Amino acid sequence: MENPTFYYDNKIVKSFAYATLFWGVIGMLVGLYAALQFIWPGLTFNIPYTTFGRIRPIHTNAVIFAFVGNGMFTGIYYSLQRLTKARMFNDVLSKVHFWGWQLIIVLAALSFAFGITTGKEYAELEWPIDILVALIWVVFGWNMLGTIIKRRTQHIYVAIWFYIATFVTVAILHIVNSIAIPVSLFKSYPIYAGVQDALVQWWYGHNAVAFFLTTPYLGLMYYFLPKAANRPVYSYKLSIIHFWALIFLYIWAGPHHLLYSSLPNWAQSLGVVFSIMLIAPSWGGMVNGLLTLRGAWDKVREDPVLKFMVVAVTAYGMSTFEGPMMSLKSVNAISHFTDWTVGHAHIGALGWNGFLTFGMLYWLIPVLFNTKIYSKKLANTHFWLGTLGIIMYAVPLYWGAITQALMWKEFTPEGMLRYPNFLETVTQIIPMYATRAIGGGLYITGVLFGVVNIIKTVKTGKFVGDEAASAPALVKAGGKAAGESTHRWLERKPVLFMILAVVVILIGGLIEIVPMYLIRSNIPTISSVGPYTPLELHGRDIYVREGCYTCHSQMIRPFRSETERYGEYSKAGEFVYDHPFQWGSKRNGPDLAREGVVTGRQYKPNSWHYQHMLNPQALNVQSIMPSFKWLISNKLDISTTARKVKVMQFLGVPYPEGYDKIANQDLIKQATEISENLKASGIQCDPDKEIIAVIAYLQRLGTDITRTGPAVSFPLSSNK
Amino acid sequence: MLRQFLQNLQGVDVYGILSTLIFFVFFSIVAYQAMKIKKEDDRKYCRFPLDDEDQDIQNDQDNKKN
Ligand code: HEC
Repeated sequence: MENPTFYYDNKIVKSFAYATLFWGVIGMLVGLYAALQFIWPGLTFNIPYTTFGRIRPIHTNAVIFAFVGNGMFTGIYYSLQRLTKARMFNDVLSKVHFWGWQLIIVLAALSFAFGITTGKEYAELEWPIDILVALIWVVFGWNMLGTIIKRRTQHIYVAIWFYIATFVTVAILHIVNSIAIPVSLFKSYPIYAGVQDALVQWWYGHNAVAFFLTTPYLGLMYYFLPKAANRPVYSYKLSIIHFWALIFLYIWAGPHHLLYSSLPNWAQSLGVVFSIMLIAPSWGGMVNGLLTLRGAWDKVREDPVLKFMVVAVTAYGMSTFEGPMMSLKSVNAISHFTDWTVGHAHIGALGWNGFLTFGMLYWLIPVLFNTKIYSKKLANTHFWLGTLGIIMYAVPLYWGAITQALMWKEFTPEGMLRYPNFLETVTQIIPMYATRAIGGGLYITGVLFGVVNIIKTVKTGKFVGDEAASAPALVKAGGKAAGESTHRWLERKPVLFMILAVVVILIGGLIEIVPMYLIRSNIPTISSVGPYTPLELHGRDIYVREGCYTCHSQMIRPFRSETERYGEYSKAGEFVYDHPFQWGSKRNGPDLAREGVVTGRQYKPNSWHYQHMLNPQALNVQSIMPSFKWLISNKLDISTTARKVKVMQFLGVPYPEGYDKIANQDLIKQATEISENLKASGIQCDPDKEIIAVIAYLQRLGTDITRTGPAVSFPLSSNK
Repeated sequence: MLRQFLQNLQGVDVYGILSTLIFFVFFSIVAYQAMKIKKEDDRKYCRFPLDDEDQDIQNDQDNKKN
């Protein structure tokens, strides 16, 4: 009997492939623009939409969710159909997924430019878009599982295991980390505060790397590398161990982003131990990929597709070794808060994700269009420009990072900080920032060559939207056959497989997060720590809006070099009212955790802050902080105060009953005081301006633990 | 009740060892399962993504076996 014919949907694959290239170019160009601002801060043209704090989330989100996201969908939609011998489950779902995802990207870019952000890295989207993301993600999962269930093959191949793990884990991470109470359509406060928010956020942040940038791409590696090399995968056994060990271990490693922070020690230690263990499965995967090429290395020399893939897998190996090393506390003490992290991230993003994407596209586009690549030479040029670009990007950042970290920590023989002026440590590494920008520029030039090459390839070929294939219908197999291994049996049970994957990732998540949430002793309370005043709360929201956290940390680690520079190290109990936490992850500017402490080394009067926000370069010619002059003309929107206070109350912040109704009186009073203080320094600034709120917030930072009396009480007049 | 128990959970410092143990148990099960796979099967399954013909054959065989 003839096997029935069916058709693969290539149109959806093509759409995702084009979107990958389009967003890749945009995302990388925004990155280059951000990099140039470190050399020429004036490039922001003093308008809000272009400042670093706003375009950095555009860059990171565009590259992660738009470029890599569309790249993963391209690969999944192509390989899943072939591996299951079935057309995608439903064409409408495919289209909704595609257009929904592109809509999310556009909304994300716009909202970040307008300062609509939650202030949590890689989870900056505000709640309405978060809901949209969840819905579209479910559409993707539904379409994928539907396809798997109506497959014509008995077993599901390792690539699909990774796709399934990606789907379920990202869904869980996204939902748990995004839970927030809306203040308005464009603003919400996360339900977690301080240390808990930090832990949940980095559990998410780290596993976004794991389950958005790694597992789906490992799936792609397991399909496209054997395809391109025309070789079987090295080992199926290894792939089983690789898969389960990787998803089990990854989920625990989040706390390595919070070493030496106020996170309880036991959680930090767990993060370290599991990060180190992660080397094993990661390298198992790399070895499985590279050994797939055994006996085919002569092809690698000739074929740009394989070249891209080999460097991608090697970059994966490098960054998965580097990551655990950076999780060692002694290394982290130096690397954290520096551009080392940025270098590390780009080995992963440009090397692993970028190169695997381009390798895949150079293989896939000619296949889809029944033709050959337009120019091998151009593809090779792309490859070399990209490789050189990665090196020129990462090496200067490593160099600069170590230089800067050592400068932060250096003492004179008399026991004073050698470089007490933070800016000196920035100026020192500007040449490194310049080299990094050149590296990034080279990489993008390569990508542009790639785009031209692919457009030309498309023009010479003939696209088949619905590709005919045939396969016998699947005869449902029953229970475990004699002699069949348990895993083999499991591979016929996609739903069970998915449930098991969820159980495995939940173990780590629960053990880490639940006690953190419940054990009281985790966060010792400090009686002098109180809620923000309404004006400070507004100031804090502006701090979040402008993305100050993309350059400034608020977390002083317990090192002498830090306590000397910034003041008393940070305590967990200081952050209990911080929805969201704003510890930050790197220091392009000094830490601000003790900015307001009057007796502190960092203290500045109101007038200084005013002048500084207006024009940082007027105070320090070499400063790379952008101007925020619009804060001086923008009027503060106090219509939302009541709602903000109410939401905070709902989240457990102890404002007195009914305070929302009188909060604005306190706000105006405090604003007037600051305005008058400025006037005394010869600065005319009305109390209703945003800058006043920002100053109020900055002057509050870190002051609570130096208070002698009880915590601030409300209304403010009751403090006298 | 559970909440109370968890709130006052003692000895959070054993978490590290406990978690590592959980992992090793899990890992041993997975490794054992993987090791049980026969060599010729390993070789066969590795070809899965490759050419369509092989796959059909494999599929047929699988179907017959069950
Ligand atoms: C592009 C990175 C960048 C961004 C974004 C940024 N800053 Fe800065 N900031 C710096 C650098 C560099 C310095 C040190 C040089 C200086 O004082 O201008 C600095 C210094 C400061 C200082 C002085 C700290 C001290 O004690 O010396 C304050 C306060 C400050 N920034 C507040 C902010 C606020 C508020 C925002 C957001 C509205 C912000 N910064 C955004 C880079 C940045």
